Amino acid sequence: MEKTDFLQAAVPTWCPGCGNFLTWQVLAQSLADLQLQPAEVAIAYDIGCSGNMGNFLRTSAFLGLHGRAIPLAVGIKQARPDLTVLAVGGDGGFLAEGTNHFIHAARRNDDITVILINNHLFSLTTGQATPTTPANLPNKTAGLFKQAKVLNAPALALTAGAGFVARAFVGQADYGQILMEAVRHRGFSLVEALSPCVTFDPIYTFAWYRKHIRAVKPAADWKKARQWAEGGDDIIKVGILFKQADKSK
Amino acid sequence: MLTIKIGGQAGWGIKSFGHWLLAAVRQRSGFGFFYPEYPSLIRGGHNTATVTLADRPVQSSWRAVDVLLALDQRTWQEDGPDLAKQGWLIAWEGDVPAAKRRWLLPAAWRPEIPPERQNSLFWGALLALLGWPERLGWEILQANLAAAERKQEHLLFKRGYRWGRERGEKVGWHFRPLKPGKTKILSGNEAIARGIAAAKCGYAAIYPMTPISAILHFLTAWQKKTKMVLFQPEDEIAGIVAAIGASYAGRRAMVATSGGGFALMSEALGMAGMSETPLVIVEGQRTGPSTGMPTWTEQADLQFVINASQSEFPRIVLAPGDARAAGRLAVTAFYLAEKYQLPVILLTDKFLAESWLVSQPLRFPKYRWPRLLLKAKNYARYQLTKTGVSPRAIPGRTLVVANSYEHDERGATSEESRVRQEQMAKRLGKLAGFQLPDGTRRYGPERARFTLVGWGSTKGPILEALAKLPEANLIHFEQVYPLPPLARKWLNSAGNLIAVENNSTGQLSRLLRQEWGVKPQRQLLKNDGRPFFPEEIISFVKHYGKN
Repeated sequence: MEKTDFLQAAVPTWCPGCGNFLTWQVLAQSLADLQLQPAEVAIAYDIGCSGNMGNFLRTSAFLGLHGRAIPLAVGIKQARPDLTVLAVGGDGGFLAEGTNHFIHAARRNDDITVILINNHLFSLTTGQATPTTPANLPNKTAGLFKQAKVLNAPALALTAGAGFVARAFVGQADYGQILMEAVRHRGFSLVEALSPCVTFDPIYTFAWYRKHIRAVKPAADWKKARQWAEGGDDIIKVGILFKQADKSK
Repeated sequence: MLTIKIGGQAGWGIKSFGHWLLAAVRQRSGFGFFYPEYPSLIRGGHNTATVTLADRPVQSSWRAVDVLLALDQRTWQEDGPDLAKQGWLIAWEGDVPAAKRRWLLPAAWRPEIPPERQNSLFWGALLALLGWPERLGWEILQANLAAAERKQEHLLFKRGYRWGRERGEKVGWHFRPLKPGKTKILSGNEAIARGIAAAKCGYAAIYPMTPISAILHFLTAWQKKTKMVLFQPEDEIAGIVAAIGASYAGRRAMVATSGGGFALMSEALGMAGMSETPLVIVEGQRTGPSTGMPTWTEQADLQFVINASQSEFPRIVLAPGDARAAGRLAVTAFYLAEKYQLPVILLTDKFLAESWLVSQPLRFPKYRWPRLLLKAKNYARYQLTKTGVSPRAIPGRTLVVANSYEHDERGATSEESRVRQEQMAKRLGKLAGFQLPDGTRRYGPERARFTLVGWGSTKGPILEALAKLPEANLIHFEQVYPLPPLARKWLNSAGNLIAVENNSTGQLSRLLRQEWGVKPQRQLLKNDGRPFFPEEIISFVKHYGKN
């Protein structure tokens, strides 16, 4: 299979320069590299800019409801363990509307790969705060969240018991390797993809991420992984933060 | 016919008593109907079991109690008023004043008998009062006992039986069973669970909720044999969405819930409609709104399930009238969901789900199930066809795109005017003229002065009443949505229509008016969480007849 076998002919409707272009291309390449057939890969899409990828990637797919891509993927996988099943969505869908599904799928170790494309905002609805919006990021509803903490997807997944937790900047060279590892992992796997919103986010740009990310080597040390997930001092650890040995083998 | 009611606290084995009685009458070649009532708690409170016994099939319990067993004083206070004039009472000495036809167990026994064991004593006494053999009573009682309990329970049972026999009185009732043929004891929930298994359902996501939890328990107990994938999800939203995913992926799928859970499911109900994914939803109604009275019955979700979720899409709502129909329609629901590729709601209620009866065995319809496309190139999931139903394939060998957005034939998101109109017409046209054979039935004489109109579980009490109302017949709906065209003719040619519904506003009446302009002259409604008793229907019709 070639990358192009995983791409629809449609022209994506994202803003020029959107981070989603990278996930789109890199994911298509990764699925091809994994020697999968487009028909046997089933992707459940959430609603949002990231979920629109369902019209641009060429695999079996179900474009679902906002916040519910994870249970959709869970049901597909439970019914058909032979399929490779992913859930693709954003920080709004997975950490606002569908947070409990995220936590429970991780806790049950459901055999799906969650690609959480974090652009820090509800961008398809023109830029309101999500649970991952940093306090310093101006947005249309920033004033409503003055006291709110930011939810950290990798840390949450680790706490819930996920066996594979990664964070990647969509522009980093080994993003594809990380995606492939995540899909290969048996059990719940999370990739938080840090993906700039070029229209509504003036701060967390491609240039900003390049300056602030630090790669880590894959580890099986949960405590260390928690520390890496939390980060701090404007440094964001990227890479496979935690990978549990596969108990099912 | 004989109606027996027992009351006491939760944890005292009140419900077990109802099961014993039903098992006993079945062994005596008779019939019975058992309905338990209980508050939403595990200990304390006031639980009752009402069992109506007869030598012919019984489809509802009756209100007038012929034998009341009061395990505590509260039972006498709450249920005493329903005791028939010539009725019998078995109670503890001191709880009620002595009188004719009252068997008062010696108060001196009470301190030594733990309250949760006194049902054995009362069971013994009742068997004696009925004049049924001691052995029959003991065989039924011991069937579910642990070895360690047997001796003690036997002593209590024997004491009750001997004490009763010494009194030398027997309840007088007509009980001359004919050959009943093969019978089974069934509940609505068990019948549905058996129907689900018979339909070869491959996936069920169920979050526990009264009154449908027993379906989850049955399916779990049978899982080794059925190989069904069972999912107890984190909430009802996850449940229905996962079931839709499973159905998309090729398994026959379902969820079960009550009104509150269904409210959470309503957005995804629309997704099943929009994505044309077959799905069966069992909705067991209970007394609302909101948390309401969680362990009591009601028929107040009809308009809700018909209208739930935004915008317009086709759906089918089936409301079985009894346990046998529940089993049969469970299979039908899966078949229709696949035939038309849409959600089908099987609407029951606490009264049907959690009542038990001696019934003819279940029989399931045989269908020629729609076939899946095994492999297709350039497959279009939403291909336009004459019937509106597209050939269905599942992911794996075929690339299948399902979509909750409006979409073109291949499943790609589309907002084009033409595509929108084509796909809406395709979906909404699927059920044109839909009529299930037996979706509606007329009972009693073809022409009658009064025509009762009912749907779902009220069938039992209405049919019981009809036996005493020669001037009345019944039009009963099991296919409640879309309304079955056949019933329209019947309604238009009927005399005085009396709608009988277990809700406050007459939801079927509203539907009949809305769809067909048919307006029942009178409505008999009930909203206190209790099912109808035949007596209430009889007296309403007789009273109406006089005016």
